[in-house]
Formats: sequence, C-alpha cells, structure tokens
Amino acid sequence: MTNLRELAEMDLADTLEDPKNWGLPVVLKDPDGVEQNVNGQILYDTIVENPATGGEMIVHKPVVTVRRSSLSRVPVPGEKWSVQIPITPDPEADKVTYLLGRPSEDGGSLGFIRLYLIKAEQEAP
Amino acid sequence: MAEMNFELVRDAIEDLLISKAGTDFRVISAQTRAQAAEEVKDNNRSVEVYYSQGDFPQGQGSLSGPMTHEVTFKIDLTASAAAKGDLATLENPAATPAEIAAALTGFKKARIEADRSLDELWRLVWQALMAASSIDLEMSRKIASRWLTNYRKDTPITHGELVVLTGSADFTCKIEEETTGLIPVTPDPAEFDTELQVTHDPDGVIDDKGKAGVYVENPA
Repeated sequence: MTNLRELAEMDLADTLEDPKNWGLPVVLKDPDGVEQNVNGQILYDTIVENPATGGEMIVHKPVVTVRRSSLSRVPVPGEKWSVQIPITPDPEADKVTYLLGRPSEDGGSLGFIRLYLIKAEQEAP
Repeated sequence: MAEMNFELVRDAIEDLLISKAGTDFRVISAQTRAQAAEEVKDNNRSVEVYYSQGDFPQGQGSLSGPMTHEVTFKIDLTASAAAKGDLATLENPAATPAEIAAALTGFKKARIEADRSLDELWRLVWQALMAASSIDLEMSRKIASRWLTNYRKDTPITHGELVVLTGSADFTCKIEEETTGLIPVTPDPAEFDTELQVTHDPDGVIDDKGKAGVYVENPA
C-alpha cells in the first residue's frame, strides 16, 4: 500500500514536471559532461529586502525545482554543473545557460531539489 | 554662504577620480541607496565619495579661526561579476561530454571574478589619489597629510544571478577652516583719511587748533 509520503512524491509529476502545469524543460550538464533533460518548475525573479532601505526589490534570481527521482545524478555542493532553462517561461523560448551556484536539499523530505543559478558569461579571449 | 574647505576637498576628490575613471568605473557623489548588481558589473564598477568624519582638535587653531580640520572621507567601492568561462562550448549541441566537462572545469567562479575586479578598482583609486601629482588634489589650496588608508573588503554576497563585492577605505587629510558665521557678515572696507593738513602762518605761528597734521617747515 502506498503511503502519504510516496503519494506526495508521485504528485511531483503533476506539480513540478507536467508541462500543462508548471513544468518547463531544463537541461542539466554534470561535471562529466553528461546531459540530462528533465522538466521542472522555474522561478525567475525573487523579491528580496533591500538592506539599505528596508524596501522590497525584485532581483533576477532563477531558481529551478526538479524532482529528485527524475535525475540520474543528483548535484552535490562543490560540483560544477551547467543548467539550461528557457529565457522566458515558455517551453519554446530560446535557452539560456547558467552555472549551478548551489544545489539545495531543503525539499528533500518531499523528494525535490532546488537549484540556485548564477550567470555565466563567455570569457574574453 | 561660502562653502567650507572640506566641501571643496570633497568635490576635488570626486573631480580627480572622475578625470581618472575613464571607462573603468563610475563616480557617485554621495552615499546613495544600495545599487543593483547589474549596475556595477564589470567595468561599470562604482566609487562613492562622502564626508564621513571631521575632527577639530581644540588646541590647533585660534578662537576665531583659522582652525585645523582633520577630515575623513569615506571611499566606497562596489563591483559585481558573473562566472566566466567557455560558454560557447556549453551551448554547442555538438560538443562532446569531455569538451563540456573541460569547459565546466575551466569556469572561473563569479566570487573570484568579483574579487579580482574589486582589487583592480582599489588599485585604480589608490593610484589616482596617492599619485605625487595629486598631492594637492589639483586644487590651489593647501591640503596637509593627505593619506588613503584603512581599506577593507566586505564579504561577497550573491545578489540574484550575480555576485556583489564591496569595500571601503578612508581618505584623511588636514585642512584649515575659517569661521564665517551662519550668516557671514562682511564689514565695509575701512577708509583712512590720508589727507595731510598743513597750516602755515606767515607770521611763524602754527595753527594747531585741534587739527591733526604734520608741521612742515617752510623752506622759503
């Protein structure tokens, strides 16, 4: 018999991965150069508090949430990964490449993992 | 009201930095709001100059001026950076896993890029303000004990997709201040009566009835 925890994890197929809901295509490249194509939820902007003024401001800070069980290899802190996401919340939009700043296991109990991205730029020759 | 000298020095520091900044950094005139990470990225780094502290040692200077003003200006430096590396290979669909792995390994962390960028900015500012040619901050007035010191780098913070790094230093010097009062009173220029009153009596009697003057012996 399936318990509630397993049911919640199975629900991630709808809540995180289903393109009809929040799912958007995400391409992960691990330190060995191996590519994984998954669907995940992407939060593009975040509201943070401006420490100088105390006011709220919106910063571009993409956070990708993916289902842990869909990954063949799970990022761990200290590893260099790249993450490609659509530049806008549209599956057909052009992709933009980020580096993985840090993976966060704060969704571990429900079976998802959050990826905090940082901007990647071409180094001048 | 006439500006005090510390205000003139503050403006001179700004003008000097602006003249040396070129496209390497921006100069901001006052302690401002927090800046967005995108605003201070790469060569768009910023330098803020503001009057931070002023001491008037009581034993230096006279009661009515001039007085010695030991001034501290805060020089705030801000830079941000993204991770830099071989992005073209990461985005190339034909790249092999080995090539992608090599590109990922070669990426320089944004934190290190921001650190180097701020170090370079500090070098530019220090060289601009401490150069021998800047000894008087290109002002005509005298500035004593000019010194740029106490540089501190803060902890890098991730601001969205970029890493922001800030630092600050103290620019100290001694200048003279005059007390002009809140509403300066400028006295009219003094007028001296320079008229020489010489009275000569042909009978040899000097007419000295209360008149100031110099008696001149008539040579005739």
